[in-house]
Amino acid sequence: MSVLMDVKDLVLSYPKGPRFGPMSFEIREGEAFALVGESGAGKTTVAFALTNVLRFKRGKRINGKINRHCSYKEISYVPQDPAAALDPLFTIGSQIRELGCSEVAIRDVLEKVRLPLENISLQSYPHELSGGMLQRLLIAMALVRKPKLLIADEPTSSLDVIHQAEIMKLFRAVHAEGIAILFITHHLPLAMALCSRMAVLFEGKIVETGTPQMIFQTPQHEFTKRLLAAVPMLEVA
Amino acid sequence: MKHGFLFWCATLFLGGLILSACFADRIAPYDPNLENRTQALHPPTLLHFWDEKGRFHKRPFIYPTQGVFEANMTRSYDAIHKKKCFLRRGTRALLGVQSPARLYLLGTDSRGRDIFSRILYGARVSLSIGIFGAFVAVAFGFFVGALAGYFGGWLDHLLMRVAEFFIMIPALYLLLALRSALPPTLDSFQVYLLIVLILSAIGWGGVARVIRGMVLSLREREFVQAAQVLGRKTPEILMRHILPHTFGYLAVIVSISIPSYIFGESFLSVLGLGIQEPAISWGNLLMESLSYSVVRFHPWVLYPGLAIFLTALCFNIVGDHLKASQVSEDKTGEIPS
Repeated sequence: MSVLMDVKDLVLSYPKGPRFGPMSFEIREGEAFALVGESGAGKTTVAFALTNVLRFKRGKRINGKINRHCSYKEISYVPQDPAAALDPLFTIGSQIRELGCSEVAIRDVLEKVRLPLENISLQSYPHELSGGMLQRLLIAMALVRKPKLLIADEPTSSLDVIHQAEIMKLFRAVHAEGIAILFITHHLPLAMALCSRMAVLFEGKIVETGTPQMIFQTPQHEFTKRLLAAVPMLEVA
Repeated sequence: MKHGFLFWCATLFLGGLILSACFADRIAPYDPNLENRTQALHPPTLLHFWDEKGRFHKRPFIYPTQGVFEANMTRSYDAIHKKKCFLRRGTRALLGVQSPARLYLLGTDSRGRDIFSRILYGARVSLSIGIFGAFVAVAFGFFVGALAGYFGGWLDHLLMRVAEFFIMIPALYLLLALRSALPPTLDSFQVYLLIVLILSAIGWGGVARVIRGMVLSLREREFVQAAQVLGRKTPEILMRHILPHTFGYLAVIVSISIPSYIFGESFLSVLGLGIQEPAISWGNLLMESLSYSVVRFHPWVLYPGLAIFLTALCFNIVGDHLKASQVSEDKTGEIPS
């Protein structure tokens, strides 16, 4: 498996803000890689660095190397908050058309995320769709560009468990098509269910890397142990 | 938010004024430069519906007048006979009376020119300077503010310091300084463009400051970041995802700043630095009222000032309502369709 993205000693910092890194990891072609960490650990900042959005951030400093073996056009991003990720002033139809894809491609990809055009009106505004529908729409918009790497930043954080399960099923289908996924989450079980490799991020540094089995069975770092211990178990009183 | 009675009155007034200015040659009873020295400083003609016998007439009429010199060297106008002249479609316009009677709805100036006709023609220049100037200032302010807010860094510092320089200087002095720095002998159209440019140069700074703040906040919104990930070009992001979100503010600022541009033009014209005769603007119409004795005995020469006052008031009412509706929209999170 060739490497799609190789991150070496990456340090991200703001003059009066937090400092993340150094961190090193690689994402291989067709694999699902998870970046797990608590809120504020720097997961979204890393995603912004990989998608090159960080260059728009004021005062940011990027040290280290990000070797991309694919173009920016081949990287798609599913943002954290689906309700905020679409422009509230425009219909979803106009925002999909902005991607510059053919109607057939749009129809195909909407069918793939189980959001057929019969069920939604392209004339509707983002606030008229439910959270699950919006998330599926955003995944569709990310897939319509036929990416090699899909970066999903906590795509299930605002959804209930049933919708979470649906979205995870969708990601598995995407992964089965050979698209590499960088799955960013703070929810360990979701990462374990989807990914073949994962890295645990704590206070801006990667403290553990390995397969889900390795991390689950022999966690090395204290934070990973706490993370595993915090996974809710179904207990019947 | 529902707009109130005042808003609709103001909108109706402004709409009517703009239409009247556009069709001034169809509405104004007389050519604005037509002089009738025998009827200089004629008071506004009263329209009557009831005649001396108390009979009602559907169509209003006037009594023709003739000037009489008084002992104190002022001239008064008396009805020469009780012949009724009904209002009818004039030879050149909608409003008129049968010759030799003259219809002066707002009186005449010292050269016997009809003030009503001159106000309608002057509205073309004054309103268009106000509207055009406000648009130029807002467009330039948006451009500068958007660049500063979006790119930040040294560009932001540079542009904002320039904007602050323009905000800092008192507007009237800047107006005079800019006008006096430019050649005095220009034709009317050149002066018109010059005034628009000068007024815009004064007004863009404030707009740029506010737009910069809005763009600073908007560029952190996820839909802008999503557009950045998609590789959209900066002008495209600014026009497509940032400009529409500032429309509410821009609409308010345009309507509120138009009066100040009209005042600016009037100020320059009254001082003789703006639009000069034979071109007509509300500002140079007010030159008549610079003399105390004229205003004392012929207060109708102040009607152009009343036109400026009412127009400014109406634009402010419209602006205030737009601002209030925008605030209530922000609170309820309504999405304008």
